[in-house]
Formats: sequence, structure tokens, C-alpha cells
Amino acid sequence: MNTATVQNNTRPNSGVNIWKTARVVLGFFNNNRLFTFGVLLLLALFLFGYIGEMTTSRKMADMGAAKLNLRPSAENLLGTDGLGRDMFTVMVIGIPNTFKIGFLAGAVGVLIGALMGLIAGFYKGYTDTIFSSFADVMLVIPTLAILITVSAYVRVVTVEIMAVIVGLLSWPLPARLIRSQTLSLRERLFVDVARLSGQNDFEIIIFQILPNLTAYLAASFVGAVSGGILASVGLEVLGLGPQNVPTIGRTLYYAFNYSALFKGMWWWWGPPLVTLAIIFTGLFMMSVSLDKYANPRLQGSTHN
Amino acid sequence: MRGLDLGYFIRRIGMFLLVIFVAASFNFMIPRLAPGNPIGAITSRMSNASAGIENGQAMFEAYRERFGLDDPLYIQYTKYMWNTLRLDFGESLSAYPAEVWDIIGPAIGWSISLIGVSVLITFVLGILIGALLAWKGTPGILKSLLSLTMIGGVLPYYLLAMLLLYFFAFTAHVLPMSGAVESGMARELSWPFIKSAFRHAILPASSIILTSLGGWALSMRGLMVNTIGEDYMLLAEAKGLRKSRILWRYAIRNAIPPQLMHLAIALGHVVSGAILVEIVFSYPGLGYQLYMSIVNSDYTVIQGITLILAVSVGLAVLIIDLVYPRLDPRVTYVAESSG
Amino acid sequence: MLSNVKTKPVDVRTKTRADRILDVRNLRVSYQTGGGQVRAVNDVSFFLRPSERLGLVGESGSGKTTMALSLMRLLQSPAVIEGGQVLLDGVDLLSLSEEEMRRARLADIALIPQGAMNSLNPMLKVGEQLRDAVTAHMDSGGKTSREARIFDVLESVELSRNVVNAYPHELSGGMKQRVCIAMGILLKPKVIIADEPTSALDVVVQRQVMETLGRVQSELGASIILVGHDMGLMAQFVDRVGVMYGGKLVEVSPVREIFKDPLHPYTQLLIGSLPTLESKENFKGISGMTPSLLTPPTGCMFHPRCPQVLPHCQVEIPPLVEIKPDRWVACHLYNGS
Ligand SMILES: Nc1ncnc2c1ncn2[C@@H]1O[C@H](COP(=O)(O)OP(=O)(O)OP(=O)(O)O)[C@@H](O)[C@H]1O
Ligand SMILES: [Mg+2]
Repeated sequence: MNTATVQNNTRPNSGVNIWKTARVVLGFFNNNRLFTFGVLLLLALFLFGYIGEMTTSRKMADMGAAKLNLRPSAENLLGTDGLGRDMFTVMVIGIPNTFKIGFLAGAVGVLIGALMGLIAGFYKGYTDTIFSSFADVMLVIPTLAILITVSAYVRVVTVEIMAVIVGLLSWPLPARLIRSQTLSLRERLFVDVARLSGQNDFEIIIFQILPNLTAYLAASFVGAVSGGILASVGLEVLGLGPQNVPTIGRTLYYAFNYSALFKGMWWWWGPPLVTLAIIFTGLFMMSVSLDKYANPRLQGSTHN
Repeated sequence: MRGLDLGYFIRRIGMFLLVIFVAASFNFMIPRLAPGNPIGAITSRMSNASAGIENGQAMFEAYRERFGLDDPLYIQYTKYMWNTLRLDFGESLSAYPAEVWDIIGPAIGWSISLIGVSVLITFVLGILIGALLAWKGTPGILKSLLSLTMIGGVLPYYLLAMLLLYFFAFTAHVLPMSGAVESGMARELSWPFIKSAFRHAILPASSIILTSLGGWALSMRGLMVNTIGEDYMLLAEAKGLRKSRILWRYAIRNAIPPQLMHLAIALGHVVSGAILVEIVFSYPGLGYQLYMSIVNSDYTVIQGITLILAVSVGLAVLIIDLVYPRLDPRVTYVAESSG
Repeated sequence: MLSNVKTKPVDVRTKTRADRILDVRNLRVSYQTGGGQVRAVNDVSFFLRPSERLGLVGESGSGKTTMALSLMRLLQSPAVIEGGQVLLDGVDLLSLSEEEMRRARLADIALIPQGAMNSLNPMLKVGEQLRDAVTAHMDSGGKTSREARIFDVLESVELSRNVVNAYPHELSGGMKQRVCIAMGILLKPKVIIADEPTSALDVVVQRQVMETLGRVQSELGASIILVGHDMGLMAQFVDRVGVMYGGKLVEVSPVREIFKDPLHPYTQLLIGSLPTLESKENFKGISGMTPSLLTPPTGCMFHPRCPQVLPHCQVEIPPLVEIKPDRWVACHLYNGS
């Protein structure tokens, strides 16, 4: 045992570090089973879409590519909808698109939010007042109303533009969380030490404060992805958002508009619904698990 | 010792005005920033359409005049802000010469009752469930049962709404599918009217309640766990207080103010969700009217509703903010020492 | 009388001595953690005489708070009281029902908690918190006598009557501590447990609060267990001192003798490390690590750090025995006598 440790310490290659990191990461997944389960759920779904996409032709998702209203069969695994599209193809194209919107929106939201939160929390005073007030105001305004208004004017959007617009409106919550954590972190001893050793504000924020926010950033990201998918699917269900691209929300919109529910065409409304349920279950598990991670007091309660 | 802290109130009211200002600015900017010059498209569409309809030219002129479309941008902005401040949204484009208010007015009542009641129920239930989930004395079976409320949180509002619509209204016919009252019913405060309104509200309200309950319970549970870990809980027990007394007066009571703050933060999201629920059930509130006006390209109504939604949520948050110091005696103190 | 334990039937009484108001026997408490069992209180026995002041010292983590709270059965999971007896006036508190124990708290045995700064509910006025406490032990009425008693105790801890209308955040640290003391004596308990009641206060306020605590204690005739680190404070305040080490009580002696002639090697090091008037040097400290309570050393807890360790110290756990009148020590060095 002892000799192994010594060797590890003296060997100057990075292999050890990779192993160490891998062990830490694996340990995290092992200690947060709920999180792991959520990740696996999303991963499985994504792979289903990703691999499925390769097995079919995109053309099958065009309207009129197949006979209308077919029940699931060997040929059309999930049947066809009332517009003559192969539901399996629609789903496997739609799933990665929905993921794309969610992750892009989440990334934009957390990026802006983290930046705002770090600046507000680190500089305090007037900077903080301005940034926080803006975040609070944005929280009050119902985002969906703005999104709906935007899509009323911008009738044709791509998946990417849609994601960015949603992301631009989802920064206030991450900003609040990061700000409050930064406020307390900046008072800690290691920040003073770093300042005394000559680091400037930028270096302190990047090298001292940011690394301590990992759990909060991750929690914010999961929340923002969840919110992004929620909002974008909501828009799509209304027939707003990207046209002509199969997405989960748009599929529901057609199913709803063509009364698939009332015609008993469960293979039309069922798959998008189940998909969304899986996505939100996965994200929910992840966020519950991370919430526990970010809030140490909660951890103790699992013993009770 | 504890009077009204003027600074606190002024800040909160300033916040409210800021909400209106920002929402109005969004309203002003979005059409002008959007690619493809939607304002130009609107006016040309309108001038085309105005040829065909009665009063069309008058409507077109009124619109141009109202928004000062021939003026420089800053004058347009000032005019727009002035109109907004007086809550004057002009006439509807699709139902000219009806005023925007004629459309928004009745919708506000329906939305406020639906969302207000749902949020109230969710908030109270969420507090109770979350508290019981965190409390050690709660029987295990009850805890597992209560945990079931988390399931609803997994589905988005609109999906649950669709499912409820399908099962209870379409398949089972036990509840109405759409609207706020039976069609053609006179709007009066009579018993049949109230009964009908209640029946129509059950499904939309359930959608809102069931999907958000889990989140509230979870957040309350977190707050309770923190509260239970506080030093004063130990002293409360050392004083020999009864368990129920500790639960209500020390644990739940102390977790409510932060939970109320969560509500203030989340209200915007709740309303966003409610918009979609209204659309699914064709419930004639602001959300449904917003949808209809998008379908009809009625831009004045869209702007009016967006603004009213922001103002209503802002007002609700303002009320919470003003009530808050009554619930948490430390607030005014904190405000004094920091400002 | 508000006291309830007295009315207990005699059969609960174990053979007891009249000169012991509190008699703790073989108390064992552990925390069930993910890593295993932490024995925080390990077979501790001691007693408290009527009106006596007993100090309890020991380094951080030696189990003082755990012991103090277990006497009132206030520990939360993952703590488990594994065994022993806590005889208050002959009644074993550990065998009372939940409701009986609730009634005994404050009325018979009261706590002045560690960290009194946060021990008052920030949302309730001080008066309401005091009222709450009395009401929980009243069977009926008596509103006026309740108010009178509250004003009484506030007066005796030198607080103005007006503090009943104040919220905790409106009081200074010293005032909050006084409120906690007032709370402790509200129902005239027989035993008061004060867990580092002044550790968060500055030295001047600390002294004033301790004087108040001492005065109300002697007026009341209650016994007190004072938990703390500060040997100087102990020297001025208590009659006897108990020394805890790694969850065990290693010595209990009258305060003067423990300073003059400490028996246990740990106590000797502890006393020796105090800065004296002659040598104004800093604490010497005690070399070695504090013992892990998860994997405690075999035999005597202290043997890995003990300068006078004997061979069988590693094997045999020394019991706490009275080697001279009123001098209790758990150490093999004194086995002969
Ligand atoms: N909730 C808990 N879970 C696990 N172990 C605990 C818990 N609380 C205390 N312990 C352990 O029990 C031991 C005794 O703790 P205790 O708080 O009684 O010490 P103490 O003597 O009061 O210390 P201090 O002087 O710092 O107040 C410590 O080793 C501590 O690690
Ligand atoms: Mg302690």
C-alpha cells in the first residue's frame, strides 16, 4: 500500500490524474444513484433517437410518405400519423432535436446567468443592485408570454434560433443561485489569500470562486435544460416555434389538431407523450439529486 | 419598535414599476427587432385588408397615428410608454372597433380566479405535504403516500391537461371539455352559474395543482429540514413543548416565509404554465385570448395581454413583498442595517 | 408544584442515595453513521449532589454535548442511547414514556444550550417563547401567575420587562443568553444543564452572565452541570470537575484538588498546559492525536498519548473508582490503592 502511494506521487505523468478523476467521477455516480439513473434514462432515450435516425430514411418523416393512419406494424414500427408520416422516423428525428433545443437553451441560460451572478455577487454594491433587480424583474415577467409574442412576430424560426431565444430568457434563476453562493464564497479565507498573493479579480473569480460553484452550476444547468425543453415544447404544442422540422412538441401539436386523442390513435399521441415523460423524469431525478448535493443539510435527513 | 419601514416599501414599489417598464419595453422592442420588419408587414397587411372592410381605412389611420409610425423611434417609444402607463392599448385589430380592453377585461377575471385559487390550494397543500415529509413523527406509510404527489411534477402542465381532458372529459364525460361556463349562460352571480363555473374549472385547476404540488412539497421539505436542524428547535424540545406545538409554531411557521419568497419567484413560471392550460381547455382567460390573438395576428391585443400578465404577476409579487415583513420580523431589521 | 417526576410511583425508583439529586450510571450513547458506530458517550457514570455545581471539561469532540443532551433525551437520530440509567431524584429518566419525559423537561431538568445566540426562535417575541414554555407545563388557567413568573425570572436575570415584546434579533448576545437562563429557571428545575453558555460572548459579558447564572442557581438551590473548555472559568465557578476524554469520564474531583493534584495523566497534561502567572508562555498543548471514536484504541482511551503508559493499559479498560474520598479516577496507575 505504502509503496504504491509513493510511486503514484513521484511518477510525473498525467495517467494517474486521469485515473484519479475517473475514480472521483465514478464515485460521484455511485454516491448519487438517483442522478445516475436520470442520466442513464436520458442517455438511453438519446441513443434511441440517434441510432434510430441512422436506420431509417429522413424522407419517411415527410408528409404523405406513407399511407395515412396506419396502426403499428413491422413496416411502420410506430404506425403512421394522419399526415402520412412514419411515426418512428418522426420520433427518432424529433428526439435529438428536442435534446438540442434543451441543451442549447440550458447552456445559454447558465452561461449568462453565471456571468451575471458572479459579477453581482463578487462586486456587490451598485453592480449587485442593478444586476439583481434586473434578474428579479425578469423572473416576474411570465417568460412564456414573451416567447409567444416573439413567435407571433417571428413566424419562421430554426431549432437553433428557438433554443437561443428560450435560453436568453432563462438566465434569472441561475443568476440568483450563483450570486448568493458567490456572495458567501467571496468572504472566505482562500479568496483573501489569493488576493494577498497578487491575483486580480478576474483570476480570483475564475480560479478561486468558479471551481467551488460546480455543484450549483450543474444544478442550474439541469434546471435550465428542463425549463428550456418545457418552454420550447410548450410553444411547439401551440404550433409556434420551428415549422417543418419534426420535434416532439410539433408532433403533439399535429396529434392534438387532428384529434388523434379522440380518434383513438394512441400511436400518434402516445410516443411523444411517453418521450416527454421520460425526459422530464430523468431531469427531475437529476435535479432532486443535485439539490441534495448542493444543500448539505438535506443529506443528513436521508438517515431519518 | 417595529414600524413600517419606508425604505423597504419604496424599494418594493420601485421594483413593481420596473417590471411594468421592462415588460413594456419588451413589447416595444420585439416587433422592431424581429427580422423581416414585422411592423411594415403589419401595416401593409392592414392597408390591404382595410380596403376590403368597413372602417378599414379609419382603423389603419388610427393605428399609424397611435404608434406614431411616421415619427422617429424615440418619439414612438415615448408615445408607446405614455399609452402603456395609462393602460391604454387602443383598438383590437381583428375585432375593430372593439377596444383591446373589451377583450382583456372579461378574460382577466377568469384567469385570476383560476390561477389564484389553484395557486392558493397548491401552496397550502404543498406546505402541509412538505412539512409532513420532513417531520420525523410522520408514519412511514403516510410519507410514501405523500411522496406520490411528486409524480405529477414530472409531467409538464399542458401534457397533464391533455391527459385529464382525454380521460375525464372526452372518454368519461364526467366533466366539461372546454370553456369557463356552459355556452350561452348569462353572466350573473346565480347558483347555476357558479356551479357551472366550478365544474368547468375543475380540470384546468387540477392540471395546475397536480403538476406543481410536488415541486412545492419538495421545496417545503427542504426548508423544513433546515428549520428542524436549527438550534432553537433543540431548545423548543428542551422546554418540554408538545410535538404538535413544535411542528406548527416552530417548524412550519418558520418555514413559511421563505416558502412564500419561493412563491414570489415562481409565480411567473406558474402563470406561464397556466397560459398553456387555458389554451388546452379553451378556458377564456388571458392565456387563451393571447393564443387567439396570435392566430388572428391581433398585435394590439397580444401586446395588451403580455403587459397585463406582467403587471398582474408583478402586483401579486408586490403584495407578497408587502405582507412578508409581517411574517418575518427580521426583514425590516435587515433592510435597516443594510440600507 | 409543577414538578411531575415526584408523583411517579415508587416502583420506578431504583436504590438510590439521598445525597445524589442526579445519578448517571453506565450511560452509553453512540451515533450510527454510514462509516460505523461512533461511541460518543462510553460507559459514563457520575452523580450530582443537591445544589452542587459540577463542571464538565474535555477537548472538542470528547462527547460533552452528547452526554448533556442524552440526560434530557434530546438527541436526534442518528444518536442512540444504548444503555445506562439517568436517575433524577431516584426516577430513571430513560425509562419514562415520551409524554412523561416531555413534562419532566424544563420542570425538573432544564437546558441552557450551546450556542444560545441561535437558540431563540427568530420569528417569535421573547415573551411568547417564555409563555409557550410555561403553558406547555400547565394543566389549566393561571394566566396571571404565569405572567408574574415570567416577569420574576426576567428580573432575576437582570433584564427589563420590556424584552417580552422584543424579537430575538433586537437583543444583544448577552441579553439573549440571559433570556436562555431565564427560560432555564422558569419552572424551578432541580437540575440545570448549561452547555458552554458563554462561549460566544466576549470576556466582560461572559463574566457578567456567569455571575448571574451563579446567583440564580444558588437562589433556586438547583444543581448545575456546566459544560465548557475554559479551566479558568471552572476554577471560579464550580465545586467539582469531571474530565471527559474520548467519550469517557476519566476523572472527577473537587475543583481545588484537581488544580493542585490532578490524578489522571490526561488531567495532569491539561492542567500543566494552562498558562500560569509565573510562566507566561503559551499553551503547551498535548502531543498526539485525539482518539477516533469510530475505531477507538483498545484498553484505556488515553494510552496512545499517555506519558506514563503501563503494559496492560493497552488491554484493560480502567474503571472509574473512588481512590480517595471524593476523588474518582479511571487509570491503572492507581489500581493498587
Ligand atoms: N450527528 C452526529 N453524527 C455523527 N457523529 C456525531 C454527531 N454529533 C456528534 N458526533 C460525534 O460525537 C462526538 C462527540 O461530539 P460532541 O458534540 O458531544 O462533543 P463536545 O465534547 O460537545 O465537543 P465541543 O466541545 O466541540 O462542543 C464527536 O466525535 C462527534 O464527531
Ligand atoms: Mg459541545
